Amino acid sequence: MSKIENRCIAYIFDEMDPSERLEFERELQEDENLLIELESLKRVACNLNGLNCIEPPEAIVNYVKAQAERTSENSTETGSFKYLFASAAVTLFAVMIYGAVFLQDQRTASSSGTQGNEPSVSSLTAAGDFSDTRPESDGSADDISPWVDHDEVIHFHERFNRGSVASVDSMFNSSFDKLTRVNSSETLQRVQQQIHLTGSNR
Amino acid sequence: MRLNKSYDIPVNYEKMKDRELVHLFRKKDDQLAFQELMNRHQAKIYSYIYSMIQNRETANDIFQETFTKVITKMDDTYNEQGKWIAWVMRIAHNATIDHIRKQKRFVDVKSSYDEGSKTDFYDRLPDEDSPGQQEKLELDESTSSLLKHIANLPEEQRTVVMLRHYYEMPFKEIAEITDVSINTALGRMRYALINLRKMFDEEHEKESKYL
Repeated sequence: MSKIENRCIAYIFDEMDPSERLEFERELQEDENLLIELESLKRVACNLNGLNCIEPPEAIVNYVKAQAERTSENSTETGSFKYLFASAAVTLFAVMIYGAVFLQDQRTASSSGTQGNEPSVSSLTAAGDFSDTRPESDGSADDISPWVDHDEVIHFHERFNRGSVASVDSMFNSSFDKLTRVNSSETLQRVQQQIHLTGSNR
Repeated sequence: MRLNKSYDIPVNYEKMKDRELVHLFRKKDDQLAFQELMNRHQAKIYSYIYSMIQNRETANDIFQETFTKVITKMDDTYNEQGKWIAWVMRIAHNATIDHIRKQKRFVDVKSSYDEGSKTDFYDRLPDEDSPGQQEKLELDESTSSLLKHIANLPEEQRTVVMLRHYYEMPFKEIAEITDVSINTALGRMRYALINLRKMFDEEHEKESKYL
């Protein structure tokens, strides 16, 4: 198949760029046989314009339209089922998450209850400023590393979670309420005389 | 909203592009949008199928099969970026070609040559797919005459002529639908026109003889 013959078809059916068209028209002026062939094919192509559209039978068209309606109804039903399943799945997931969190809370509460029965040394350290001096911890139960400060006071407040630390703080603060104010200077002097100084080994 | 009396489809649907109608049908199950699409293209699609098959019953079946696929597969396989009608024509074309190939295969397997009459089984059968034998459609004379000639073209040439005629489809798209190069599509059209010219000439000769 030569390219020029294909270009005849592209020219007849108006599928050429303006520049291609111009170039082809120049070639047509130079080649008489090509021009004759082109005109002949153009006439045949024009004859095809007599071919009219054929309408499909109405019954078939109606059947297709009804089928389209049925299909969209089915897809709507399927869609609502999908929506129902999706909501059920989301609800189930939420319930599971809630259950897991609840169980976790229960476990934490029971373990902190057990810890509460053990004698706690934290009260010993309550006087110290442990909230500032305690070493960093990731808060896991296994990560308990008691440490001793320069006053040789043992600290292991990692046993407590943040809530427990807060309660210890409040206990510490309320312990000041038990102190009585010293009003007479005599009593104060007597107390000062009774102070016994101690020192550490360091 | 004003309704068009002929189809009971709102006038604004007629102004919409295919893409917008397809979107309405897909996303909102808008049946009127689908009906408007049908009204626009049904005759061209049917004409293409009929001109390829030249049998009313088979054309009806293929037309129905085409739209069943269009309705059921639109959500899965149609990409709204492309032309909807090109997608539908590809389905119609594939269904038509499948039918033609099945028919050919059937003939190849079953035909038996008779030495006595020098004909095979199918030579002795009436040709149901020829326009003369079938239940005739009410066609105007020029269409009927042209279809008779087009029916005699080889299948691949017929395809190019019909896709171009009914859809003014660019040769690039025809080449894509028929899985050939653009040069092959142009070449097929050229051969189709040459063959048709020959048929028209023969017809003219016959007519002048009778006159």
